[in-house]
Amino acid sequence: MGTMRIVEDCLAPARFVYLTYTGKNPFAVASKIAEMLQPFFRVSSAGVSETDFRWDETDDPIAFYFTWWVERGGTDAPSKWTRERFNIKVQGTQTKESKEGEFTMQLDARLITSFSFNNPFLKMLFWIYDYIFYFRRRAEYLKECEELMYDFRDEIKKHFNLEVLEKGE
Amino acid sequence: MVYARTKLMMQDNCFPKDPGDVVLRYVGPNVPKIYQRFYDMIKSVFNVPDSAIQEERFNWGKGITEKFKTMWFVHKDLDQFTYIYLKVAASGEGDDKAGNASIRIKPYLRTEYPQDTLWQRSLFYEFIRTFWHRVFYHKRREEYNEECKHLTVMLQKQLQELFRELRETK
Repeated sequence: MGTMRIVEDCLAPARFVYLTYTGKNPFAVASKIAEMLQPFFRVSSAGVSETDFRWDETDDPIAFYFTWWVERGGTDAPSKWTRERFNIKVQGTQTKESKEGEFTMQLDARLITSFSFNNPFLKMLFWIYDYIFYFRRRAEYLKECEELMYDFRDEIKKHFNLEVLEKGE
Repeated sequence: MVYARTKLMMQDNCFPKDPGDVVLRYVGPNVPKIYQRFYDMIKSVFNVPDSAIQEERFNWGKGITEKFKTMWFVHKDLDQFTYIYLKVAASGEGDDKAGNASIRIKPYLRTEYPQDTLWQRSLFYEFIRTFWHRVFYHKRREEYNEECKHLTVMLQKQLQELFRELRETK
């Protein structure tokens, strides 16, 4: 059985978006992300994973680094064939005494469309279906995925009391 | 913007001669206000929705004074194939009393033709597309280029107006 995959960057033309913060208590971003991932992306616990966590207390300032991924697949996915994958990477420092420091958060998001087929006829049918109808749906999912990523970053901005652009006027 | 996996893209700087971009610098009070005001200005001058503006980079430093650096990409669709693509970098440092900011605007005109299907990649399609482009579309692109310049200059003037207003606000 073959599988056809279409992988699209939600944030194109940019590959990643960034948020850099300098100020008080930058490590608070870790707990904020941990508590908000599931409710924000509306995924079950199986759809979230913290793949790397580093906290180096031997030095001053303390360096930290962690990565998360979120996957909206299965019942959480936008459709039967399409799922969304978000990657979050944070790297920063914080002083021991004053708790001042900085962090940079890198975000990227992808839309993955997979279609399994067991004969070339089904593959051809999917291509036709995609060319006529489904590509429009994918374009909508792409926009939703992009907006979700920017909204996520806005939530982090709000937490640190940073300027959030007022939209929807 | 053309939604296709493979595209033939033509990109022109709206201001063809060097430096090809617009840079404005500001020294004065109320620097942090520039961030939101300038964003609203882009939306109104280019008449684009929020979803057409992507904020790729956002740096904000909190301390005695506020320090920010941001990068926006703006898409303004002109027709099925052509859009204005704007790269905007804004940075600033200061508070309500004093500070400085710098804004760089790079406007481009982009035309994209989809090249996904066998038909779109065929020689015959290429003949027709090239003919149509030279006979009809070239002129239209020139008009779009004028519009791009016009909108960028308008943005520049509005920005100068904003700087004046910020200087006068106490």
